[in-house]
Amino acid sequence: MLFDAHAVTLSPSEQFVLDLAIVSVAIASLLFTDSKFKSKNPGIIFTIIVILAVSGRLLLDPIPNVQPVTFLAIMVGIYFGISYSIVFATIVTLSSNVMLEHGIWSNYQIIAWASIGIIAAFLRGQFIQNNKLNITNVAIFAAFSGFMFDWIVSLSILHNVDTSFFLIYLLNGLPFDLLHAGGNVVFVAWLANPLSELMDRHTSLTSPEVVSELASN
Amino acid sequence: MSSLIMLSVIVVIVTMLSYFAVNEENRLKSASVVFVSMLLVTFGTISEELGEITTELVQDDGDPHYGLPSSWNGTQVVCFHFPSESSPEDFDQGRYHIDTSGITIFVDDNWENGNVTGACVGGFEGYEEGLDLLNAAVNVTGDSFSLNVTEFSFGLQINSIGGVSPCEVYTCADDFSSGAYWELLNDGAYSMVGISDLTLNDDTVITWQIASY
Repeated sequence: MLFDAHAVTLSPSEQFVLDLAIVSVAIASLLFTDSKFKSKNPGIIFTIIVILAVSGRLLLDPIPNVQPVTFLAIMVGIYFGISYSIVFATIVTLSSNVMLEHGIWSNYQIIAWASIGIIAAFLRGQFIQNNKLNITNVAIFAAFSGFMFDWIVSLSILHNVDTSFFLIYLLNGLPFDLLHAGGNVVFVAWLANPLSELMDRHTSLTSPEVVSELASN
Repeated sequence: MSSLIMLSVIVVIVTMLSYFAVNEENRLKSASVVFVSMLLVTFGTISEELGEITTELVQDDGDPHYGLPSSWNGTQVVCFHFPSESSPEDFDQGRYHIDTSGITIFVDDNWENGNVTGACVGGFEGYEEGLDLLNAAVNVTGDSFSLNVTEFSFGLQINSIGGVSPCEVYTCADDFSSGAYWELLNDGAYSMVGISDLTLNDDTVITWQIASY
């Protein structure tokens, strides 16, 4: 006997709870199983982070402006540096927008997420202190990044509307900006520490101590 | 305005309480989750209040200009309403408000609870006949709301606006027992005459929407 699974429909809230559970299980699996993973190749963990960002953005789409990409862009900037940040922003934006919607705003999203990653890379010294992630500093930057991302992407409307309307548009978007900022802080508070340990294990070449060690050899 | 301030204060107070109610290690976790949850719950009200403050819309729902920018009071307006899933591509994020120079001045993403999208083109003055005003509104928006019409002896029949035909939105039976059409509203009421016979006032609001039978 065959059952038509496509005929089963869920309400938006049921679908959201299910999606949230899937994301949580994926993140938990990644964090718990990673300790057995011995590879020092940063490309592997980078790929996993990209997949996590794309799937997280798609699955959390029902919540306005709450998604893990901005937080992960910051983490990639801190642990992988500038070039990886640009690659991350480009792949995640284009991959997820295939499902969400692709348009001129995609370019602004790439610029915004890449900029956040680049700034995070430059501020690495503020975020990693005594070989530990300073959660307070990262949380403050993550909240700021929520506004920064939204305002950069909002520039895309200037292709269609007058500049005099731009300030009103930004003011109307404040609740969205606050949600983005708040969502980023949630991700930092709950995931930054375990994720930093994971990324630290696989990106030892980016650690200043290891680099100086290699140079002296 | 007062409810916006009150909601903001409640969100801040509850967030602060959740911050101090737990041990130091978990304060950020607790406060951030509560903040986002509170914001999600109050999101609709806060957005609505903020929109009203920043754009000054006509609030009187008995006024034909209800929901339109108050700067258009006393001028003529043409609205094109589409079911949200059937809008032309560039007008699917809400009801766009476009002035006579073709510039979008405001997007209402919650018009009719988000079920209706499209555009209102307003700020026109001096038009006396409905068809002239309609053509002026179409010209302002370029090809976005181009008309496909059939001319009959009794007037014009609108087949599609912006490429959207009513029978693409609703099922139309071959025997005409059920169908759909572009309905013309004059100041919010069903127009008893066609667009080519419609005489305008200084502040007329013409609305086109798809109706079914």
